[in-house]
Amino acid sequence: MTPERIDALLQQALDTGEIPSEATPEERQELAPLLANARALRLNAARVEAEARASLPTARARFQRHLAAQAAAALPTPAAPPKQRLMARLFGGRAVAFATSAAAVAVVAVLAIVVLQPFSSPDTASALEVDHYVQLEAVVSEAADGSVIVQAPDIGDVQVALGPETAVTAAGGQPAASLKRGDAVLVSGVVTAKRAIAATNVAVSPNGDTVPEGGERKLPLLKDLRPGLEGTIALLSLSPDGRQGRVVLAAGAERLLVAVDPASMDQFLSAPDGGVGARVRVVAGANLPKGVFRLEVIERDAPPAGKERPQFENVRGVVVGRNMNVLQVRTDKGVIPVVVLPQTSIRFGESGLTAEDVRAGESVAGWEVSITGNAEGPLGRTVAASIIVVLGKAPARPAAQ
Amino acid sequence: MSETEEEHHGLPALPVSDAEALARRAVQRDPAAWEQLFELHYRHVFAFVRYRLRSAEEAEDIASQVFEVAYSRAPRFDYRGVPIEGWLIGIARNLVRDHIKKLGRRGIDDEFDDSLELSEPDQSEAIGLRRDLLAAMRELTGDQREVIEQRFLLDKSVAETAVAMNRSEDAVKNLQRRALAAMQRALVSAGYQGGGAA
Repeated sequence: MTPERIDALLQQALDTGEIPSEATPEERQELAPLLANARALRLNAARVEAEARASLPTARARFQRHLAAQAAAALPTPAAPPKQRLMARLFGGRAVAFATSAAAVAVVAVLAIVVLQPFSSPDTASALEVDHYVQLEAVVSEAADGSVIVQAPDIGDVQVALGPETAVTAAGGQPAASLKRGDAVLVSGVVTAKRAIAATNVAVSPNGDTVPEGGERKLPLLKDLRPGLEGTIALLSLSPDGRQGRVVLAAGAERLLVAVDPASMDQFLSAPDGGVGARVRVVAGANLPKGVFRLEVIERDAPPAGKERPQFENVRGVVVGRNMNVLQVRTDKGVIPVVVLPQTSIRFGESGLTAEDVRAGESVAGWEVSITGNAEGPLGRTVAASIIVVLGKAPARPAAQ
Repeated sequence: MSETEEEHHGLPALPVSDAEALARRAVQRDPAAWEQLFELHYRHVFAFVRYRLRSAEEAEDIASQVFEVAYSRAPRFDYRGVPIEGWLIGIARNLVRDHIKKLGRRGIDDEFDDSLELSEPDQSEAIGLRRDLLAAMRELTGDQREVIEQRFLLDKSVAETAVAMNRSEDAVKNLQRRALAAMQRALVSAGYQGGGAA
């Protein structure tokens, strides 16, 4: 056992989360505690990352005030007002700023009702229902501190509230600079009012032209299966109880609302190429009610050459530990921390688990899960979860670490 | 507080063309560039500071100061070949040091404070683990602590850490093993038989 060999074995273990099979028993004995320490450090790093994200709005407002003050001091003419919330500008306190952040969702909900026109199409309204979890692709049309308005195909203007917990990242897990007009975004969150979403996760790409154009329009609901019906998922939504799933299917020039069987939706969400942007085939299923279908993933639609579409990461693995709202998940790329956000949607499927179990302290250790969310930088292996699907039946215990 | 070599001894650069263009604009005190820098680096700076201070609120305050100080010094920043994140981390290191000295003068030992103000009930195990991890880090040499920070707290790759620490990748791998082993010894002496996985 040379130092070089043990260094290399440790590095392999850190990369994969497992001690390499070629390690001797003595080497395993040396490596095991080192790997455990590294896991513990990464878990704490994920918690610090969550704190950093929570503090970001207040710190950003402070820095913008600083920049504005410096600009005002440097120029003979009054500087442009800083981009920040009115209450934060008036009082500047952390508590007030957080309060305004927390209130943003509620305010946006009210604003969305008062300012924006109601849906003109009942078919379209059923694709975006209040309290439903939703994922949709859109283009930023207006950006302000704390919220943005996006233009979504088939729906039109949607107000997206960004809270302190919202994970916003660009390609490669880098933190996104402020959202700006023309950015393509993939938004997930909970619908708080007609055309208003409290976002948990936003993926950003500068290529707004990757999102299909088209404002509000009526969408027919698919009632009878057409043989060979294929298309790309442009939006998906799930009811709070998880029993109703719908997608908007772009099939050539046609756009359809499709009701999806919950079990099929779980499979779709946990497939490597699942989620918005996936190309799917719509198929019938045994014992499904009329007008409810299953989805089969064909592939993920390739973006135009040289263009990146915004997309979330999809991670699959086994939960090996839980520390409050951070799960440790063993994947084929090693053990990664997964931060469960306050509004993360969790689908328990056939697992037999319930939200009450989790709240009561169920560690979820040993369960296989599929997670969709943002892989965040600088801690690029931390995933801020948008939706978690618990797969399969109860594991053999004990498996917790 | 002075700008020292230490301030330039930090984290690796972003992709060169983008990073240098952004740095050029930052030197000119372009507000849009500084807003972009803030979005890119705030959480990293916060994480660096957080591991040294008592609370998230203090970390937020110091991390915010880092950007204010950096903006004030922007015309003095030499962007040629110097990662701007390393420069920011250097400023953070000095601000933390000043902050801890100030607290020390008031009789408060704040560095690696063992309290973690969590609102959730029944988190004694999590609190204890973090406290002991931080206590174990106190036992490390400067290089060992830096490699732990880079690799596991700031989640840098071996290659990035090698650049930041001006060492070979093999040296980083060796150093990280020795650092984890030193932490293990400290944790075992604190009662964690299995190390940090307790």
